[in-house]
Amino acid sequence: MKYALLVMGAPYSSQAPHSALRFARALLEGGHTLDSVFFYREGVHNASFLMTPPQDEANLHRLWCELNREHGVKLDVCIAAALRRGLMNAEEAARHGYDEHSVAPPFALTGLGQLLDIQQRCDRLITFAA
Amino acid sequence: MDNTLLVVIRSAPYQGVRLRESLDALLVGAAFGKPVVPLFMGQGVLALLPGQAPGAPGQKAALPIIEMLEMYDIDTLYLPAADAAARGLDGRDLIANTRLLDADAVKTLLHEAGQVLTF
Repeated sequence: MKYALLVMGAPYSSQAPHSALRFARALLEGGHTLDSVFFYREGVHNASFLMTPPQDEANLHRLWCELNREHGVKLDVCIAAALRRGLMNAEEAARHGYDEHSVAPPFALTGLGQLLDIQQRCDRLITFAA
Repeated sequence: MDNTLLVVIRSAPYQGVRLRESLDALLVGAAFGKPVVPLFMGQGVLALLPGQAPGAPGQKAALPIIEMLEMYDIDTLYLPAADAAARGLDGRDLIANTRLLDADAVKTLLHEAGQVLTF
């Protein structure tokens, strides 16, 4: 079965991203496909490559990147929710006149329309709310 | 399969931008030309109270967006009657074009929708 995940909880202040990652690993081990993970609301903070938890804690950003590298899972981030919370890629930073950015591939800034598209093409969309 | 998108909204107004980010999904669904049905559940039913002004410092009111949904062909705003009653509300307390549903009707709505998004 083809799955997609919707993650709406922030890293470290919500269980949602941890649960979503475990669910992702479990469904891939079960022989299913994971098409995309869409990050919305506080979930957009998962996309920041600047997150630096203590070394003995899981780095959620890296775990998402590993999932992308190993299984080609797309990582989509709602651009409106991200900008509102101060997260952006180099292109958006340039557009808004900032010198720095915090989001880079494999995370892609996209719109809510992408979420509807993902839901349309997958058999199951599983929500991990905060 | 039914092409309807059911959006379940469970955030109260003035709880940060939660309600407005849920309504965005409704609007995008409608803009994509899908039949979109909103179901306000739990604290979400408070979004259907009339007379909401801008709230705590810096918070916009979401009611103008809700009142604009009709322009996107989102004509009926559904909510479970039990969730309204639990908050001391009935149909007369709410804005126009809301429809209160009993538990079976809620079940049917969820069951028949092609897609469900829960916020």
